[in-house]
Amino acid sequence: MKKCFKVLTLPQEYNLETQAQIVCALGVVHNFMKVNDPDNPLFKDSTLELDPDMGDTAANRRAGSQEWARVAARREKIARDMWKDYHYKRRLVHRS
Amino acid sequence: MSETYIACYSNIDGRFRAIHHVLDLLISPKIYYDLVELPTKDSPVPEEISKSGSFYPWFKDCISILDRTHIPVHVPDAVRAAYHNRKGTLSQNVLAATTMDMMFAYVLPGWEGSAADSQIFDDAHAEDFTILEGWYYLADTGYPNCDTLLVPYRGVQYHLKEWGRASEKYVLLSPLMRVLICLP
Repeated sequence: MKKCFKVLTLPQEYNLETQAQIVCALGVVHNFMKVNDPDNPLFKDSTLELDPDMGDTAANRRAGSQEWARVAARREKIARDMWKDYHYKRRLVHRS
Repeated sequence: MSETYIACYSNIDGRFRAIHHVLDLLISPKIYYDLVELPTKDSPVPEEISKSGSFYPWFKDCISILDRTHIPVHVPDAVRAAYHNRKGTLSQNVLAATTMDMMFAYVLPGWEGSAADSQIFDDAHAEDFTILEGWYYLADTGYPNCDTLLVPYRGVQYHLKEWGRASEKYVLLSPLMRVLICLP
């Protein structure tokens, strides 16, 4: 989004409420353009600068409950199922 | 645009007024919710998932992506400290959800740069960011792994170039995780 709208890369001298509104408004403009002008070069190579070290490391500690166990199992199941499928497909490729 | 309209916005004050005019219009509920909408019960499984042999059916309940971005802000001295992010710059922490075809589905700006991602998510979730039962969003490790979010394993390298080199099953989660870095 920052690459699409350079205005977001520099602080704007408006009050905080307006600065927040600008973000929402550009979200609207972005979606409008995606619908009406999907081939616009602005959308090419649109990548977000992921800041891996900006993540909140304490976040995962929050759920120390049953929910944590449940969602960890869900994630594990997805990974396991994909792993099985991956091996299965690889065997098919080797055979052919 | 009529000439009178241009004339009345040609000075600095007028330009400020014009900006507010445009912002008010763009974020008026009628326009905003028409263009930025959360997936509903009737939303089909996104094509990006359903037509992908790598993602379907594993991620059929994953309807959208959640992430944050830090946008630089200009703040009054009195509240500067709260806007300092981990990198030491001043920013607002913006939470955004996008659909798989890279449309914004939800935007929550205005949180201080120092605010924790999980706190912002909790706030949004308690307010108007609804996630239907049984669905979850793909989020990155800044967010809590909970019923409504799926976050990657911590400390696992997800960015291997080829699946063939995969030495751990977790790596198979990587293609979708990579979607995270393609957010608009």
